[in-house]
Amino acid sequence: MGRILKELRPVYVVGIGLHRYQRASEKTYVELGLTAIREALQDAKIEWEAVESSYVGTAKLGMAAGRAMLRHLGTTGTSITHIENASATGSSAFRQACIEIAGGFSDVALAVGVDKVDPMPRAFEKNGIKDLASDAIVPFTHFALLAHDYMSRYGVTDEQIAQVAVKNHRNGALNPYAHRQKERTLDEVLSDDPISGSFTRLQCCPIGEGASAVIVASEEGIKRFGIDPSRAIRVSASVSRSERVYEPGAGFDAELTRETTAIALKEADITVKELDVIEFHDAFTIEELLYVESLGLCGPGQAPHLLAEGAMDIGGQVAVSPSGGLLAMGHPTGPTGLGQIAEVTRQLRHEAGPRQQPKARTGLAHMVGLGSVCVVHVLQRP
Amino acid sequence: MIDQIALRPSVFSIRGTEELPDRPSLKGCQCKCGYVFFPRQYFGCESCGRFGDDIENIEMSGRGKIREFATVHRSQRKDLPAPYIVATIVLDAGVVIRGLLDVTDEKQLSIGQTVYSTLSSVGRDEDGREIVDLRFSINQSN
Repeated sequence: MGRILKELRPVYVVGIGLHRYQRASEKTYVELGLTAIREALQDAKIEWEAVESSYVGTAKLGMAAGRAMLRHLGTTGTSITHIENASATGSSAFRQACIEIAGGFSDVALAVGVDKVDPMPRAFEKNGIKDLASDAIVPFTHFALLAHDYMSRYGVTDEQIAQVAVKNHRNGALNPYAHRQKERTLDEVLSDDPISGSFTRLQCCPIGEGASAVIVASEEGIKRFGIDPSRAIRVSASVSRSERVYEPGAGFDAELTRETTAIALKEADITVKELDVIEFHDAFTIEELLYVESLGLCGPGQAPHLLAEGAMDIGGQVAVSPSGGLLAMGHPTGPTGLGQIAEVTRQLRHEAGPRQQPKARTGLAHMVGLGSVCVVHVLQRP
Repeated sequence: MIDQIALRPSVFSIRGTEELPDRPSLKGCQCKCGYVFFPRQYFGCESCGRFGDDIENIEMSGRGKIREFATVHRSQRKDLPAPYIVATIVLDAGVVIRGLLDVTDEKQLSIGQTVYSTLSSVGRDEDGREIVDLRFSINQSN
């Protein structure tokens, strides 16, 4: 049997930085990435020379993006490794940096996610297996179909599902790094351009450009570089799983999330009730409701009620997607999972300003990626 | 019928099954372990890892029930203008697939409704033969 993160050296998030997620601009990815990394270094109050290893998460830039960006921080000759894991790219870059610290290979490591709005060549379409209509059923339609199933199964309306977008845009309006920073009424969400099934544009995440950087350190690293331990956030679980064969027609995203989050809670030795903050892969409104149920916050079909009661709001029982989530903060892909870690860290440090979930101590970040893969982290305020 | 050719011949057959001869059939596989899957591939069984001769071809009848559906307003395929309607269908064989419906208004649809495979003309090849793709129809008569 392998070992879990908590059995190894403790890992702490000590620095976070972002470049705002936004529509495609003239900026190069180098500028986006450097902005996020320099902010993270400044946040940790360390110099670049302290970083012993870097994981660069990018899904779209292509080969060898890392050194072409990192060399402008002053070359140090340290390890650079690129990570691609579809939507979970940033989450996996973070996980590798955590493993490196936990395993004792480094005392300070960087995970950075950066992407531009580039075409995404999809290897899974090159398997030579022809399908009936998969090229006509892209992710927004996959989830629109799941939304239709959910509505009919539990007697839920499209208005109830659209409320996820209302909440997440309200949170995103308070986040200076969010792609969409405008509050939206239910009417605005429902009357926006139709995309697929009951989804309008505002129920689908924007895919723009941006960057997120997270610096992790061991206790030795924190001591050696004089990092403020009171702002360090412990990484208590890191779990990565992939899809298996489920019952015919089972929602594989929800099933995979169920098993991955259950392992993460067990590894962190906490119950779901202890979570104060959650960042989910809410690329489409229905996902947040499905994953709230997969995680076990409520029973099947109950998530819309939890949402309507305000239990998922900032200030509620558990703040779900306080950053605005993928729906409002955005989904530039490589950066997304790391942006979640940055938000959870900010919340647990009690530095989230108007988005602050009161007394937040424990948070969870969840991404699924095409394939499907699922990566979940639990963070705790020591 | 002779002048028709399937757009994706590895996915469906213009000929029906013994059980449902008048409807195009879908080409699936069954592994020795019992796992039935679609579309067809021999790289290996997702359930147990067996491959090659342990995987048998099966023909699945073109009939099933709608589990959920959606009208798609944004198309990513040049040959398929939006809006179009897709559905998740539980085939009589028990396999769950997703396909395009030969329906223009989703008001005609309901969950649990029976649908039948049908051929839809999508163009002609250089020899003038009609190229057909598989759709699902709510009409029992072909």
